[in-house]
Amino acid sequence: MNGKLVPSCLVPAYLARGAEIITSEGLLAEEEGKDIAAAFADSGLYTCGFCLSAKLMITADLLRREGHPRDDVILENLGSTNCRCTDPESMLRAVNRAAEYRAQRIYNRAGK
Amino acid sequence: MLASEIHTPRDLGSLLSLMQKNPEALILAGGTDILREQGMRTVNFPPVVIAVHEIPEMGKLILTERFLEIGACVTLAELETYNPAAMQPALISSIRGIATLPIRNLATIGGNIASKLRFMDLWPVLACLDSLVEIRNSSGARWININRFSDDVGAPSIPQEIVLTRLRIPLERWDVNVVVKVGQADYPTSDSAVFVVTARIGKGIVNDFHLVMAGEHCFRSRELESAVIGRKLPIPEHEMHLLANEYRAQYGSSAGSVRAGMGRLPELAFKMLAR
Repeated sequence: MNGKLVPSCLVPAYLARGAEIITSEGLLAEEEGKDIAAAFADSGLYTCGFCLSAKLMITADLLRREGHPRDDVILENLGSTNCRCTDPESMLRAVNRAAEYRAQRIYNRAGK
Repeated sequence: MLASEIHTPRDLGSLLSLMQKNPEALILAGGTDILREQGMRTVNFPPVVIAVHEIPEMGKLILTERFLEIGACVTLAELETYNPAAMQPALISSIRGIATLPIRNLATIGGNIASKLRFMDLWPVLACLDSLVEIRNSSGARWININRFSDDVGAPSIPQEIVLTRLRIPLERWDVNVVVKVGQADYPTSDSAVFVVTARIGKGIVNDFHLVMAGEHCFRSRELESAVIGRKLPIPEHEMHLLANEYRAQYGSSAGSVRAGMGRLPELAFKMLAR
């Protein structure tokens, strides 16, 4: 919402009025979201399905703020979701791969 | 029951006018504390809600030579990333321990200190720093020390029919800043509390010392703080225990959460002075 990651379940309607809202579907329609989804898949990450949207959004928000976050920062941010369907090492692999894909995309774009 | 009217004033004058016409209105900014308290499938708001998040004066951060002025609607995430040179270390430490980043993107500092059911995490820090809060109603505005937001028995006590608009945190630095959270990590319960110590040390002597504990109730004793001021560091072990026992004797008579879980935290505070 307005460029900040928020828990939609805690956003009352009055706060959303006039705000720019990007959902996980909106994210996945962009290159940024597709890179993250590809990184998750390429890393062999399988989620229960309930938490995937949150994990995608958290990863996108984190990589925007910190292009190559440390592992402890990744785990702290992903702690926003409490789903145990994925183990920490798998999540770290997936997010680090997403960071690589993001860096490559930015590098390619700069080169054009 | 759904709210029948939600007003979104865009200036303080409109806000105060709405408050005067609707004295029972619920004032909301991020709404995270109110929504946290709701345990049902549908949100239960009173008939009139006043959303204050669009009032510019309440969203500003202003740094002066003597204090940092924070609008009540500034989010905890904004504070967390604000100019580190201007932020008190105890405040940053406390903010980082609150919930998760998505919630801190919604939660406001005003909402955190205006909770009526318990003292939330920032209150004891701001009390230790002797912060001032601006309260407004239709009669006018005044600044009061945040320590006055508690009653004689240490329960939260915010004046009725007012709105918190701004806070001022003095910029003077403290040499010792200790913030300890006790109780359940992810959700405040009756045993949850925050313990904050700030101190100034000069030439091995305690020049100033503040200790505030707050959960469902708060405890602060200026008398006991004065007993620490002027002592030479390190404080001998037996004196430390005597001071700590004095604290326990005094807050042992206060309610629930401050007493529960404090354990040996007072000794920790005195040991930290020597570091």
